[in-house]
Amino acid sequence: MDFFNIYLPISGIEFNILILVSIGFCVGTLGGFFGVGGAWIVTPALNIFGFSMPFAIGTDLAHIFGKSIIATGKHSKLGNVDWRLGLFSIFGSIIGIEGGKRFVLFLEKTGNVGSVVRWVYMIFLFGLGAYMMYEYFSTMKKQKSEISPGEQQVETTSGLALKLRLINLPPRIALPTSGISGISFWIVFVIFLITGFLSGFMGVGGGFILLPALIYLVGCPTTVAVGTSLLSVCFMSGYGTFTYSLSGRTELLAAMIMLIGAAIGAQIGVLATKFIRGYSIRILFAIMIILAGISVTLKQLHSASNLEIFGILAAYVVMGAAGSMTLLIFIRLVIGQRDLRRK
Amino acid sequence: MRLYHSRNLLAIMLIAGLIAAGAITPALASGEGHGDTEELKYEVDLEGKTGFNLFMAEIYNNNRLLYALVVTVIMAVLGMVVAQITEQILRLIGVR
Repeated sequence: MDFFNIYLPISGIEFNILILVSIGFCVGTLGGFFGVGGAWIVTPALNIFGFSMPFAIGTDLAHIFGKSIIATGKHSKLGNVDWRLGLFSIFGSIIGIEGGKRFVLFLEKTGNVGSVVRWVYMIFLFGLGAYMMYEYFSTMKKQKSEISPGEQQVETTSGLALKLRLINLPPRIALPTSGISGISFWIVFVIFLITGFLSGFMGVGGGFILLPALIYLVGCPTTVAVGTSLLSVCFMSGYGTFTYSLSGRTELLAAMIMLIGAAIGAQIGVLATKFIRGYSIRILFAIMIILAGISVTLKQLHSASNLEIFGILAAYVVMGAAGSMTLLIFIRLVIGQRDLRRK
Repeated sequence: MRLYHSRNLLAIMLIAGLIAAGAITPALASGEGHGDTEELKYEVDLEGKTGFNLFMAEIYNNNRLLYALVVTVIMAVLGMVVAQITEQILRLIGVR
């Protein structure tokens, strides 16, 4: 296995190329499928395999930037990117991220940042995962009693999103790709301000917060929410790549190698969305973030008890979840392609 | 020009954003107002490095702003190039 080791010039460590490509492939697949950056998988994985945390974060952002360009381009060809919404998102997101970052630095001075951020993660991940599961099962149950056998179950806009659209605060904007004839610009701005703040506070690209926000608050169809979320991740990770590189915390060679794996994975993840219904993507996403919540809980136990086993388990739970979900997506794509060829 | 037309609003905000980015970047590069995140006081050892590794290490040591620009541009360009290549490969193996 040492044959595949490569010397990374900036961080000055040796790293296995196969591990870098594998991490990139998994995160690329999940990114293309769910519209997330995957920082919550890559950063702990890189840290476990030898990167210091600052380099893990900066290198991860650089690779996410390249990967999200690939996935966004692919989703755009499939008509899944609401460019107008994505561009409007930049303003609220950047202000929100800066606010979240400053709040983290304030907490750092009080010495509480690690624990507070992890508790917020747990509440958010478990709460969101539980809500998405509840929403999925209750909608499926309702639709099954309303539709005839053989008829396709359709995705509906959430009630909350419909109510938010009724708020008549000018200027109003139209988002035709998302099927929205009019929504107040300020609703969109505040949604992205809050999601940006949470991203900056939790130190992530924002995809896993943005995806449910686009579905349940803006009311985008799931596949458009995936594509548009990726566009936003693209902008945010580009900004993050630049600022982290400015601070000397990116290993370009490692990011380039991970990108090769991510490029293949992103194509697979994006294509797989064509063979899975919108609601199924939501339930898989809910499962993924609940598993991520379990990983964060283990990390919190590690921090509280200082027992190394919790720290190791935390990392392996999140990587195991990522690997299993990647395999599931890949299998679904293969089955979908086979059925397509038969037709 | 109708201010409330979403396309015009977007254009105005993008221009304002670009002007703001142009004003902020020199401050970021010099470290002013960026005091919350310390620049890593770290020099890469150039001994034994050749080619691309030496090139990147020299930029890293001598000009951090250029390093940041190079990393950002390389990752963007590489993303686009690799996307095209993988799309062609997937097409060749029959994935539609």
